[in-house]
Amino acid sequence: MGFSAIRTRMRDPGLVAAPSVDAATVNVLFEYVVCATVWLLVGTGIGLIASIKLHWPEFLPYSWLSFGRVRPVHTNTVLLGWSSLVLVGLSFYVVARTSRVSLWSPRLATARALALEPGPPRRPRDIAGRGEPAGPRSTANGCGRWPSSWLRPCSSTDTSRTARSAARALPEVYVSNWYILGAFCCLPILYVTSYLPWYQGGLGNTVVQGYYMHNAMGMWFTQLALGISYYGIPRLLGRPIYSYALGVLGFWTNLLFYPLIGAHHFIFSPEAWWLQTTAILFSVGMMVPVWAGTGNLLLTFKGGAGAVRRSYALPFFVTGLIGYGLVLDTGNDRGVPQRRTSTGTSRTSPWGTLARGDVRLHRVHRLGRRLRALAALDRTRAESAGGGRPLLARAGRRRDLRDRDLGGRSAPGLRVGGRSIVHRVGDRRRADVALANDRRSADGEQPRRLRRQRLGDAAAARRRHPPSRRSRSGAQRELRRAAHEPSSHRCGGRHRVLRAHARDGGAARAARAGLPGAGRHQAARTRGGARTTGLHARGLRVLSHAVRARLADGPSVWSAVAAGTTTRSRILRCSAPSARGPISPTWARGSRARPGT
Amino acid sequence: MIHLYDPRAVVPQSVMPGYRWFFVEKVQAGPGDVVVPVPAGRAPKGKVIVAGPDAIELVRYLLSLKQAKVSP
Repeated sequence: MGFSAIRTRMRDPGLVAAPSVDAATVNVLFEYVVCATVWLLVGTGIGLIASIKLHWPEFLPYSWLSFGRVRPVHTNTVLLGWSSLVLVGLSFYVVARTSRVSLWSPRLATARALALEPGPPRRPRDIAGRGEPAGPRSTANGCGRWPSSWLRPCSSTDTSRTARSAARALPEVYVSNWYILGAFCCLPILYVTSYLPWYQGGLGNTVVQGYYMHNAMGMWFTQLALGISYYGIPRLLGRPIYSYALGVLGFWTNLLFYPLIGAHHFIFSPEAWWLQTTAILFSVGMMVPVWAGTGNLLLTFKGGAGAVRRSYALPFFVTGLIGYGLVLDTGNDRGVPQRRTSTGTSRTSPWGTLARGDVRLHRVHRLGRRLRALAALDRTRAESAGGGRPLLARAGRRRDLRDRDLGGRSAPGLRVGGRSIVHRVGDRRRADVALANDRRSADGEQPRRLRRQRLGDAAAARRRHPPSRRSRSGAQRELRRAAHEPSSHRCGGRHRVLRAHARDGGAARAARAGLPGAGRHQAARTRGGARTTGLHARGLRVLSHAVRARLADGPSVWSAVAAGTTTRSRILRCSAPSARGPISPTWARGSRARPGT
Repeated sequence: MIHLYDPRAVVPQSVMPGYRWFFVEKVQAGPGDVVVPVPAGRAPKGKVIVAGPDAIELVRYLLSLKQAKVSP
């Protein structure tokens, strides 16, 4: 894949965040992702040492770097530092987006990120110092039990999350939130069970250990990753998931089968036979959730090869999904045939054990990695909508970043931000996608209904506030331009956008305030310099504010939208059915299927 | 003991790491020292490998482990 392909992917239309996302949520996500990325680098570095040691045992022969110590450090750093942090941060984002609310307490979320932060560093020191993780040793995945200090922040955010979700504006729970809430509910159970002191001796220790390490995977990482996938994949593809019902089926069957299969790590051990048999049976049962989930998401991908090719983040989803599907096979290979053939080679070989844990984790990694990309771009996009802060820029830097953008000469301090925004908003077609996406998955409304509503409102508002001839003609000229001119405008897409972005400020404010004349005002302004892209920027802004206003049952700003002919036409144009069929919310199909589940 | 000091001295294809920090290299073994009979060429020349207290404890523990019996 050449550089140009990567660059094409960076213009992923699906990575456009919803303009109505609030800045605090994006900030929280960003903090989590940054922290997690640091741990990812650390953890994979240590993992590299560990893997070298497997082939070259005399590599770094120091007592505090022996394999038995390095590997728990690696797994803990990667599991807790990277995966947990990034998944929690992303689930904040997903819950906030799909529930159409902002975070209950972004500060608490940040505090939690900071509370998680010292977890991994303290742990490697402990481990490297004492040579074993706290609590019973974990065999297959090599992850020790999390320090109890994790429990507190986890449960507190759990509370905040639940409260937030309960206050959700939507009448239904999107399937992402099923998974995420499930994960946060299972986490305390996992902790309490694994810390109960009554089973800590002898074989009970092993059983608890199997329960803990297995369910840390199944009830925490898997659920979070799936929940985020159920948001990310439809969002990036720009189409609804294949089946809401399959997603919910996967969730409940996962909850049913997963907790009981921890003992399949100890087949042919002195554990009770009935426990081993149960574990094997339920491992087979795991076919239901895994195939439901994989099939559901892969069928969502069906026909979307082009999108995957263009997208930066989607290939990570695809590989992650395939990994998810394959993990089942490795798991059953390990669990079931061993029972029959008493050779047990794959069990006794360290490679089998390591490989399985790693495949599974790598799935999380992959998901996480592309989610990191998603997160970073979401953030940049939020900046372009004027709601968030630019990438890596703190409060003080926002203005000069924008100013530099305005000059159109040099990219902002961190080029990722500026450039991706520019490309995305600058391109007519992509902006349309952004708008469509925003309405679909951010609002969670039936778009047809939404469109009708908008039409009705627009007609009424237009009667009330007839747009001036002047603005209409200007608007029409712009639309003509938008329709006929190639995207390489003489001003250059980039400059154009930035100008539009800047000029958009006043108009957007007016729209936010619900001023009826806002759209008209904008249309008149637009004639000057900011051309088509100004419409996009404004369309996005107006739409998001309209959505908010509608959510809050406040005064509708549809009149503002309607009064400006330009904006209205633009929105109507954008809301035309896409090539793949009518735009529908991510769970539109699901809401029909829901009564059956 | 040799296996702990240098696994490849016992099993050439072993990937087990050596635990050399459990052992002390001495020019002359003192009274009561447990000398590890490391094959020639596997230890520094002119030195004797003496098991440290950790090595002795570890080997005692390892020898205490028994194959668990699977009862029906």
